[in-house]
Amino acid sequence: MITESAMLKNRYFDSVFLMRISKQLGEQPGIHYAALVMGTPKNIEILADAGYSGIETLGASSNDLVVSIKADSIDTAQDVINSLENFLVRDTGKPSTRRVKTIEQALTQQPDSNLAVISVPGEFATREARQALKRGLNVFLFSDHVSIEDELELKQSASEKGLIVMGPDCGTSIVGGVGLGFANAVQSGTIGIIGASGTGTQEVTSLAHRWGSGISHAIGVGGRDLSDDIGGISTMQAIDALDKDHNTAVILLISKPPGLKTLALVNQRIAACSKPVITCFLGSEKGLFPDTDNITTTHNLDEATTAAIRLAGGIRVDEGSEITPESIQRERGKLKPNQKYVRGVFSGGTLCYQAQQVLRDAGMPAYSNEPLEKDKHLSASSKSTEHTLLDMGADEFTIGKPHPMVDSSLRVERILSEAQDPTVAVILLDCILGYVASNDPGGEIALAIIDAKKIAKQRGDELTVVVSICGTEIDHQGLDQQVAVLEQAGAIVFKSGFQSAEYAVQLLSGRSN
Amino acid sequence: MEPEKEVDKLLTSPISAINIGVEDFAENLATQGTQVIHVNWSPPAGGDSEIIAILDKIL
Repeated sequence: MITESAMLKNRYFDSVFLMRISKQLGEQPGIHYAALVMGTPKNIEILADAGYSGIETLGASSNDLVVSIKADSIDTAQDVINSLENFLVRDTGKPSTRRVKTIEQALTQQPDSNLAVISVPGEFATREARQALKRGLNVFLFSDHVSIEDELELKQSASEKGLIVMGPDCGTSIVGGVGLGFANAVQSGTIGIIGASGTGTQEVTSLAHRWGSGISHAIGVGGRDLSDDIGGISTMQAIDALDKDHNTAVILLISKPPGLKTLALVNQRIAACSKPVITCFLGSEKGLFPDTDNITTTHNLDEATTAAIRLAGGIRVDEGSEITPESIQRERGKLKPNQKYVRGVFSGGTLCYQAQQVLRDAGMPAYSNEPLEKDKHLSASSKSTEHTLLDMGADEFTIGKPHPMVDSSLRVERILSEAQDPTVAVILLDCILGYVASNDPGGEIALAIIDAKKIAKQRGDELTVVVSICGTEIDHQGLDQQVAVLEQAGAIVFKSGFQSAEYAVQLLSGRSN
Repeated sequence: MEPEKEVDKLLTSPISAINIGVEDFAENLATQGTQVIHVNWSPPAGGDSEIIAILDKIL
C-alpha cells in the first residue's frame, strides 16, 4: 500500500462536506483510505500521526484543501486525485440556498435576519459569534472548542443586548417549529424545552411527539451553561422567554447537575415562573433535587417527558414498546455464565450518560470515556473493560473523523471489536434520526450487528444487541423503516434510550446461571 | 412595560437565518421552508491568528 498526497490552494470547504467526499473517495476501487481536510496545523498533525506520510511537506494553510490517499498503487491514487474536482461538486439533492461572501452582504440581502447559525471551526467561532451579536443577531453556535472565557464573554454581551447565544457546542434547537442543527421533525405543541444537551433534547422532543404531545420551542444552551463559570446566563434568558411565550404551557429543563451557585439562582427564577417547570438533571442521585411548589424533578428523560405531557394537560399515548418478561427470559436463556458485561457504543452523549445512570442505579456501574464519576474513567478509550459505555462522539474519536451521527464507520469498527470479547453479553447502541443525520443510520449499523452476532456464534456464544432509536415517523429516514432494518439484523429495538438501558440491566441482574 | 427583547421576538417571528459554516445546515433550513442565506465562509487572513488579531483591532 502506498500513500499519495496533494493540495489545492485557496479552496475552502466545510467539514461535513469534506467528510462526505472522503467517504466517497474511500469507496473507489483500489483505495484503502482517503483523508480530505483543510490544511490547519491540527489536521496536518493528526494525519501525519495516522501515517499519511509526506503531508507535512505540502506547506498547506487553513485555506488550502489537502487530500491524502492510501491505495494499492501510485497510479490508482493519482487517478483519484486527478479526478478530485468531479467529487467536489455539491449535490445533496436538497434545495440550494442563496450564497454571499460576508455577513454584511447577507444582512443587505436579508435585512430581517434574526438568527446566525454558526458552525465554523472552533478557533474562529468566537470571532464570528461576536460579529453576529454586534449586528443584533441571536446566535445558534454549533461550533465546539470555544473556551469558557469566550463563552462567558459572548453570553454576557448577548444578554446586555437582549439577544441569546444557544451554545457553544449546541447540537439541537427547535424555534417556532424550525429544527436547527441535529433536530428531529416533531409536531407543534405546548411543551417548551431548555436543553443543555443535544441528544437529550432530541430524545425528549421525539418522545413527546410520539407520546401524543408536541413542542413549542426547544432552546439549546450548551453543555456548560449551568456551570458556575457561566452561571446559567442562557438558561435564565430561555426561562424568561418561555415564561412569556403564549404557546408554551410547561417548561422542561434538561442538563447535567448544575453548579451549586447556579442551581440556587435557577431555582429562585423558577419559583417566580408563572408556568410549571420540570427539571431533569441527568447523572444526579435520585432524590437529590426535591420537588417544590412549581418544580417537578425527574430522574430520566422518559420520566421528564411523561411529567411534561401530564402537566401540559395531555395524556401519554402508549406505544406498546415496553420490556416484557418473556423477552428477558428468552434472551437470558441464550447467555453463557461467563457473558457478564454490557458494552455501549453510543453516538449520542446524553444517551450514553443516561445509560450509565441506569446501570449505576442498578448497582452495575460502568466505565466510560465520559463517566458519571471520575473513578470510572476508562484508562484508554480504545479498550473497554467490564461494563463500558462509550460516547463515540467525544473528541478523542472525532478529531479529523466524521461524527458518528453523520457516518457510522467508527462505531461499526468498535461494535465488531466488542463482539470479540467472550465476556460481553449485551451490546447497547443508539440510532439517531433527524435533520442532517445520516440518511440510513439503522442500515449503517445493521450490517455490523449481523457480523457481531456471527463473531460470537463462531465461538459458540449468542450476543444480545439492544438498540434505542430516537426519532419520529415524520423524520426523513422513517422511524418504522429504521426499526425494521434493525430488527431484521437481529437487534432488540426500543424507542427510548432509558428503556434500552433498563432492558440490559434486567437481562443481566438476578441471573441464576 | 419592559420593551420586547430580541430573544422574545425570535420565538414569535418567523426565523430568518444567516448560516455561517456547514452548508448542510442552510440546506436543512431551506428544506423546512425557512428563509436562509449562506455565507461562503473561509478562515480570515488564511487562518493566521496574529494577523486576525491585528485586523480585529484595526476594523
